[in-house]
Amino acid sequence: LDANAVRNLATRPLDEAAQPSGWPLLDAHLPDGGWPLAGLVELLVPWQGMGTPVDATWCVLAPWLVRAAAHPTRPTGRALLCLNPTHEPYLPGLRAASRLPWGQAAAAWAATPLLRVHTLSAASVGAEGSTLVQACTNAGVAANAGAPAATTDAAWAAEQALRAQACAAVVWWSPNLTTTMTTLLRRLHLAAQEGHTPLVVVRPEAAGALASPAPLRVKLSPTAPGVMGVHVLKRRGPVMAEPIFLDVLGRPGAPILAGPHAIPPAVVGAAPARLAA
Amino acid sequence: MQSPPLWLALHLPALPLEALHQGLPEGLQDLPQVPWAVTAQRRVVQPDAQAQHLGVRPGMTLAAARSLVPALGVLERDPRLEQALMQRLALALSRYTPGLVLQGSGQGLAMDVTASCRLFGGTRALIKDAQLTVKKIGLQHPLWATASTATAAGLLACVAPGMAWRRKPSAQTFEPPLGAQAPKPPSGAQALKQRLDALPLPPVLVAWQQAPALAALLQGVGCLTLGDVRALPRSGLMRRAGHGLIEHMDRAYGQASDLHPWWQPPLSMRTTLTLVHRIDQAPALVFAVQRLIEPLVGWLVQHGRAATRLQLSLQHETSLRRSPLADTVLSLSLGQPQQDAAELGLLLRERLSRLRLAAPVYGLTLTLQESLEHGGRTRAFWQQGPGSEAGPADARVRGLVDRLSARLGAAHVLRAHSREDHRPECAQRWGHPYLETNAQDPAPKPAHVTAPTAVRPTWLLAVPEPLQAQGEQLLRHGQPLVLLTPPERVEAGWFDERPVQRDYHQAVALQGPAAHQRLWIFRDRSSQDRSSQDRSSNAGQASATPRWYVHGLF
Repeated sequence: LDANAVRNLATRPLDEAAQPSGWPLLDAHLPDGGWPLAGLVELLVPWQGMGTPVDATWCVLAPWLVRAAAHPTRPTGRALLCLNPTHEPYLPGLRAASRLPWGQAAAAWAATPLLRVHTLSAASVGAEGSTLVQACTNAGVAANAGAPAATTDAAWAAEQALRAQACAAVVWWSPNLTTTMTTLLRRLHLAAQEGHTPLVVVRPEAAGALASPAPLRVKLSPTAPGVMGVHVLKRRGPVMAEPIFLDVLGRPGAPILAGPHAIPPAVVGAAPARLAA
Repeated sequence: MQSPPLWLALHLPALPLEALHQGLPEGLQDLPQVPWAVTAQRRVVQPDAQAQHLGVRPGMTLAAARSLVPALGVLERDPRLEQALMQRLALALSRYTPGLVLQGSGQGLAMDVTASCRLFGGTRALIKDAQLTVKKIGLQHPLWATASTATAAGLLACVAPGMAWRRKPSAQTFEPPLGAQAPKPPSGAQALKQRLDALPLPPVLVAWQQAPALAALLQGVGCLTLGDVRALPRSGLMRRAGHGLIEHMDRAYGQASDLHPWWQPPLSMRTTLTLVHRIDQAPALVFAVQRLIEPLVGWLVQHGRAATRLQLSLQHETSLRRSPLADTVLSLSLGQPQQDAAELGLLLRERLSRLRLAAPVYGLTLTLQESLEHGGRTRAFWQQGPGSEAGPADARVRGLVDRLSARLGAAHVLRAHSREDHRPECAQRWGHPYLETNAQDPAPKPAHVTAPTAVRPTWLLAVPEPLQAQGEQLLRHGQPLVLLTPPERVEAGWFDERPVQRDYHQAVALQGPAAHQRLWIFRDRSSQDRSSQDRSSNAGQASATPRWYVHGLF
């Protein structure tokens, strides 16, 4: 190797600043033309009570995450880490939601380890052979995820994952709305930048009123069946005046919607559903 | 060119005390509390610094020491603990060289570091590293010396500790006559001879375990230093002092071959630490774990292996009055084989920080259950990227999973495994991230059972959520649902006793807090069959069983 080659390798840019989201319409409104490849991203979703967020986030996240995992020159690993997800992420659905041709999507998700980490309260972790996640109900997991001990553990787990540079991305569902969370997020944003790993924090809409260290805050709101309203609340650059609408049905042959706010006439005509005899 | 032999020797003058203090955390050893003394057969063997300051001397009877210091704390000497400590020390230091020699009646250790200096970045770097390791084991006051023979190094560590290079040639003050050439600094062998010659005689004879009568005899003929003894006629000295002293001197000066039995590492790795006081809180055991990890790492490095499975067992009180309590056993399975003390320490610390002790702990045992051959870490030729120094990505993921499951429990860190199955809940299984690959289906194939046209949700509910039905209208949280799609029929599982018969629809609620959330709901046809049978016999009960469930969210 000559000296030039060595110098080129040393000064080569480590990774691009952003990765296309898979939605060209959305890319146009994100800084650098896509989701960032390092640092904190805050997603605000409707979240009723503690139990079940109205979660169509995967439709927006999955196309980006699978492309970020398959990125050839990133220094991080390929794994995707889901921290305290409110339900079980489901691979067959994620494949379909990734906006790739079927074969490509299957290959990409087969090469991407999908990890799920739960941090419940310390009492449930026994000395040896504790088994609980499979047994606990959905509501229990979500309710516990907001507890202070679970938040501390989740922040620790996120920081470990970011600093280890082992994951293509870390996604954390947290209903916690206290000021501690803001402090934690500031710390995690630094860890995410140093670790060259994006950290996505999915929070209730009410968190939009709180200060946040995230340079990118995006509010998601489903406005009609299959229509996702995306509003970038905070970004580098000008303020986004009004939300854009994505058609997230993601299925070829799905009912085409006439306009962003329109409910498909077929649906309106079908209501109310008859129980099949 | 072959480098001259270099031996690094370590002497523990306060071994009886340090062996007992091994069970105390670092901070407590130096706290100004009661003075301690180690006794054997009612005589003081080793007072600590505070007791020594108050006048307690080795060899005093216990009664005399008590009359000097009424508050003297007394610990009975335990040779077993001392041997165990020397064994741990030798194990920890065996990472630097396989050539280890125990000497000086079990209180000293010499290691042949001739061939290791370059690997560890020079003599000074190696000695600094070794000193740090010894400190991590919890030894407070070791004495070090280097020399070109094992016997000389051991003697210097015992009598005049210090490294050879600290003595600058200019410090030896003699002024050259005017006009004469400045004398060259003495060569290695010459310098060693000078250092040995200058040693005072009585401590040398004690270190070599010679009879006290011999010391009196030699002092009587005017020998004050080791050099004076060497100047005596050899045959006369041999007749009066016996063979032992001459042989020790010849070995130290390099005039006779300096052969020692090498220390042999154990074949399997299992170290035990006995605590002085009971410990009630698991996080307080971290210091003890650190003292067990250093020997383990030494063993692993010397054998060229990396740990994959460890077991830490905590011994509780074994009192005859109470029923004996079984040891608390912590197993640690590592996906990424580890040889690094910091990483192993972190994993065990996280496990301990979450542990609630059932009873106070009196001792710990760390056992290496499985290990793999490990060639060591290769260093990058140049800086490649921010992640490259941490190893390949796969190893980093495994390391991360190990750390997360050490703190959160293995059941909380799971990975999705795809399987070919028509039943939605069986098409994906959550299992250990890498230890269990698709064990149930031996040949993992890309899942193409689910055809691209079959729509699947991105979230699956672990337990399907029952839906209320009001007349013919489906309700979720009190809001009416609209079906979006015709049914997709799933009938499978007759082969493994978990049959399902379901019709899946997509549905949505148009109002309410969860409006526009697309749901994946199913009608359980097996319960319908049953309920229709029920209806024929008992019409009132059938409507109570819900037949519609939410199974997924889009």
